[in-house]
Amino acid sequence: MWPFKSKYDKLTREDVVDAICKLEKESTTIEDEIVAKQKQIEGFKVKGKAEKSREIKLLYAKKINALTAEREQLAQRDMYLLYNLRLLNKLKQSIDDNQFFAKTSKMSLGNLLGDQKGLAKFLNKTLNTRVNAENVLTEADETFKQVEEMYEKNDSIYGVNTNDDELLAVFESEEDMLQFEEDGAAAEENISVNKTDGE
Amino acid sequence: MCFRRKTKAESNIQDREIIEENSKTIDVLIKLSNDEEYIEKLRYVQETLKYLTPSTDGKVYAADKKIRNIIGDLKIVLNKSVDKEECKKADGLLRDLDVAIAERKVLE
Repeated sequence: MWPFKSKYDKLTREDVVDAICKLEKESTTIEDEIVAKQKQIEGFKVKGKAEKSREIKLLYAKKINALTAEREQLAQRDMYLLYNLRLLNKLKQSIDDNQFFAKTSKMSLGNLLGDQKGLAKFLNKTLNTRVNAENVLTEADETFKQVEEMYEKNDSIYGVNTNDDELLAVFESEEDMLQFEEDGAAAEENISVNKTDGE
Repeated sequence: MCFRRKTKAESNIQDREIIEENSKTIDVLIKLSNDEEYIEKLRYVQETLKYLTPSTDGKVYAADKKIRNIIGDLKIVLNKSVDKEECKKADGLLRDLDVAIAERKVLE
C-alpha cells in the first residue's frame, strides 16, 4: 500500500469552501465593475448625442470603445470564474457524497444487508412462515365447507306438509282473484277515457 | 518504555477542535451578514456552540462535523450578493443548523 497520501486524500471540505468563497467574492467584485462601466458607457452615449462639437464627439466615441473593450474583458473573466466555481461545487459535492456513503455503509443495519447468504436465508424463512399461516386458514375453511355439506335439511321443520299445501293453494287462488279484479277496473277506466276523447 | 493512559482532554481533542472552529467561523459569518435578523440568530447559535460538551463518542463527532458542513455552506451563501433566492437558501441553512445543534444536544 502506497504510504504517501495523494493531494485529494489531504483535501478537506473547508479548503474547498474557502476557495469557493474567494471566487464568489471576486465574481461579485467583477460584476459590480461591469455594471459601473456599463453606466459610464450609457452616460457618454447621452453626452455624445447632446454634444455639437465633432472633436468632443470623437473623444466620447473613443472613450466608449475603450470602456466597452474593458467591459468585455471583465465579462470573460467572470465567465471563467463561474466555470471554476461550478467545478469547485462539484468537488464539494463529491466530498459530501464520499462522507455520506462511507457513513451509511458503516451503519449496523447497512452491514447486515451486505451478508447476501444470511439475507436469503432470512427471507426464505419469512416466506415459509407466511405460507404456513395461510395454509392453516385455508385448511380451516375446507373443514367448514365439508361439515356444512354433510348437513341435511330437516323436512319436518322446514318442509311442506299436506295442511301447508292446502293453505298455499288457497293463497295462490286469492291472489289470482285480486289480480283479475284489478285488470277489470283498469279496462273500464280505459273505455270511459276513450269515450270522452271521442266527444 | 512507560505507557500512560490519555487524559480525557487528550482523548476528546478532535471534537474540541471542531467545536472551537465552528464557534470561530460563526464570527466570520456575523461579519459577512448585513441582515440584523441573521446576525441575531448567528449570535445565539454561537453561544450555544461554545458550551457544547466535547466527547469521544463517534456519533457526537459526526454530529459536530455535520454542523461544520452546514456552517461552511452558510459561509458560501453569505459571501454571494444577497438576493431573494440567496435569502431563501440562507434561511433554509439556518433552520438546518438549528436542527443539527438540537440533534447534537440529544447525544450529549
